[in-house]
Amino acid sequence: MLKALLKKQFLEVFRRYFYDKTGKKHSKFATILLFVLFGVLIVGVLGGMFTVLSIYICDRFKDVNLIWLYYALMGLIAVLFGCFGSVFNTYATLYLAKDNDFLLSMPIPVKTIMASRLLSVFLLGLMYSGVVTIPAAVVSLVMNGASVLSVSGGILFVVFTAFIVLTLSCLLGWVVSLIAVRLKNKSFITVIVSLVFIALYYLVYFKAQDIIGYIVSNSETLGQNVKTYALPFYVFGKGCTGDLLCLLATAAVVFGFFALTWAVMARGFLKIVTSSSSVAKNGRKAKSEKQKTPFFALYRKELKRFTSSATYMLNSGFGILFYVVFAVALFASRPMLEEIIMSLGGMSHIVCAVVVMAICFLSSTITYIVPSVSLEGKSIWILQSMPVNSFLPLKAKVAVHITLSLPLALIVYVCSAFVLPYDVAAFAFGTLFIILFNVFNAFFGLFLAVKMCNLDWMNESVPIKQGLNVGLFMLEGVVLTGVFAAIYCLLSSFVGSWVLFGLFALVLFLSSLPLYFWAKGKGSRIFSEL
Amino acid sequence: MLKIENLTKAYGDKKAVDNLSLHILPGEIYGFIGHNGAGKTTTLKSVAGILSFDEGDIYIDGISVRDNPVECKRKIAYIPDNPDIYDFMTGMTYLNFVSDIFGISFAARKERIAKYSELFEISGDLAKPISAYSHGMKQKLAIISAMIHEPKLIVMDEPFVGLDPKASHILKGMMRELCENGGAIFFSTHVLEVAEKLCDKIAIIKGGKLVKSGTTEEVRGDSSLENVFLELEEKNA
Repeated sequence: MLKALLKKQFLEVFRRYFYDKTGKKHSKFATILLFVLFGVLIVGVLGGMFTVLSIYICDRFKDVNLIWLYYALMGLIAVLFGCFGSVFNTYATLYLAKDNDFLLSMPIPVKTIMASRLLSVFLLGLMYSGVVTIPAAVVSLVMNGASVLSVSGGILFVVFTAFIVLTLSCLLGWVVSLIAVRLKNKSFITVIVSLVFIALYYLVYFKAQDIIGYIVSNSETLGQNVKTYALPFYVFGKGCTGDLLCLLATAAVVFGFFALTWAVMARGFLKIVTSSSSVAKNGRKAKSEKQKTPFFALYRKELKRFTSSATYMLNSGFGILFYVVFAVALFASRPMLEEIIMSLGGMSHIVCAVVVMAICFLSSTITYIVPSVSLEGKSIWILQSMPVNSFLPLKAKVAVHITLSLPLALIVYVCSAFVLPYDVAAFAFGTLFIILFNVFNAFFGLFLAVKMCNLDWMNESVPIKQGLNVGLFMLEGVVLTGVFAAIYCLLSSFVGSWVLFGLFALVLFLSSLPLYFWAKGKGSRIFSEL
Repeated sequence: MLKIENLTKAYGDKKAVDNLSLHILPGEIYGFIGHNGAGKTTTLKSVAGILSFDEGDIYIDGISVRDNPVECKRKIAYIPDNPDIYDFMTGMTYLNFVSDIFGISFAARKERIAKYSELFEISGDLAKPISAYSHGMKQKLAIISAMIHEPKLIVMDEPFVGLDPKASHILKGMMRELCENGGAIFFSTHVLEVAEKLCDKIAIIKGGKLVKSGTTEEVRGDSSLENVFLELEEKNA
């Protein structure tokens, strides 16, 4: 039974290797080729990268006789890498699987379902952590010599790390699911958790070299501190070098911790799985609301659509986060900017123009409006059968897009005024330029949304992530800001910044007009007949 | 109440509806019968102002759907065969949304939502997201949202699919009540027994063309509606 469940589980994970998008089976050659490509990526690229890292660290730690610290450090990297790779997979596999109801209706013990899910999570976790631990163990055994105990330690290092990854992923997934069951807007949790993970990932990614460099150059002090203040790390590392007592202690802790996690999860598995699918726990009472205008009702509906989907928010609203990062970066790099401005002398306005263009470019990364028409999907009859002009729903989409992209753009622009030396006229016309850039973007996005609409999707990520119109929209942002920046650089020696910003604003205004009238006329007609 | 004059709608070379004319008076429940692909949904969607048509015109209360679709939509309600409703909303959010679009006051919507949701026994489910609703519950919600602005004409495509026997019974009562108050119903169905018992008039469509229409008694004659329908199918095959 467990074997059949596992087979099904892995067929799901590797389905794309056997079948294409339409469900047609790949040829044997294509399947083998895909697996080889996957192997090259995992073993060749990632494994190769960690082999080089292992050689670098092991070589230094061997000289100071700190192989246990090497294992502890590589284990930590593997756990971070494994957890990052599999925590969302764990959550989705355990609690959001669409066949949970189906499997629960069959004569399969709940623990067997759980075991099959966990085994696949374990193997995927092993795949991620193994990319770090296997090269690390091999490198250590080659560089330090192999004995029965050290080989056993190396093998158990791989196994222990995979179990730690499994336990932590399960715990994180379990916590997320517990919160998700109780919260109204699960999509927000997914977005927040995703953003935290992405931020952590990039933080570690950018700082990794410094951190490793610091650890290597201070290995002896660090080793002493770990021994004193973080004994479990020492025991873990020492065990992996082949110390029998430490191996046994580590095994007891790792497996004991996992058993405890299993027990906790087994108690709540059924409850979480069933409540998350039915949203049964809902004590709220539905209330009628005061009358609003049709436009405001449509505006709210659009906003609700956006905020109810983590995929939509993460992919089409990621630019909002970029604004914040950009504003922080502006303040953080203030001394550097001041230096550049000083060195540029009379040409310092170019820095201001670059910032304005950067803000406009960031606006183009907010793609909310582009998939919005496609996302109406099969529910489009609701808007089409309502007694409103067909331009009104489109106007609501434009309004939401501008709400998401413009206010923050202006706030970031105002923030930049504390760092950069704008003159008043240039700042005023720069503001106008940013406003009209966002308005143009919204109407251009609407044009693409209506003209390249796809209502027949099965998964909302198709129009959100894979639509050609989304790509075109982002390309438009790059091209437009690039062209404006180039024109600015060419002409700024002859005319003032404010003139150029004013001219750009005029161009955008004149370009937005035909798009507006198209949306009001032909665009609305197309929308009403989709 | 509803006048369809020489309605023609083609998809490419294929005429889905071909020169169809019908007249529905206030107080009538008008059944629309036909095999799959006969042109029922195309006709109903054209009446609801969702589909544009090639020839002819449709009048609701004397107003042309072609010339003034928004005004026509104010007077009617449309319930599709598959109630694909925004699953990111709760039932109540959806009803409030529809009420806002139709400009229903707070007091009126409160009273109507309470009345119909209790009638269909889903008042306890209105706080839940629509994604958690069954097909039948979505159908009930679509019916409630259709009733919320007290339409003069309701256009329904297979309204009984997915409803439990009690809800079907309630819906039939609501349809009759609306007609007694001067409204009209135009609906399609494959359940001929329902059409026979419920409808004042029936139209049978085949290949986009009207093959028979009139009062239920006229259409049925001495036979059953099922026999008439099957005979017409064979005759026009």
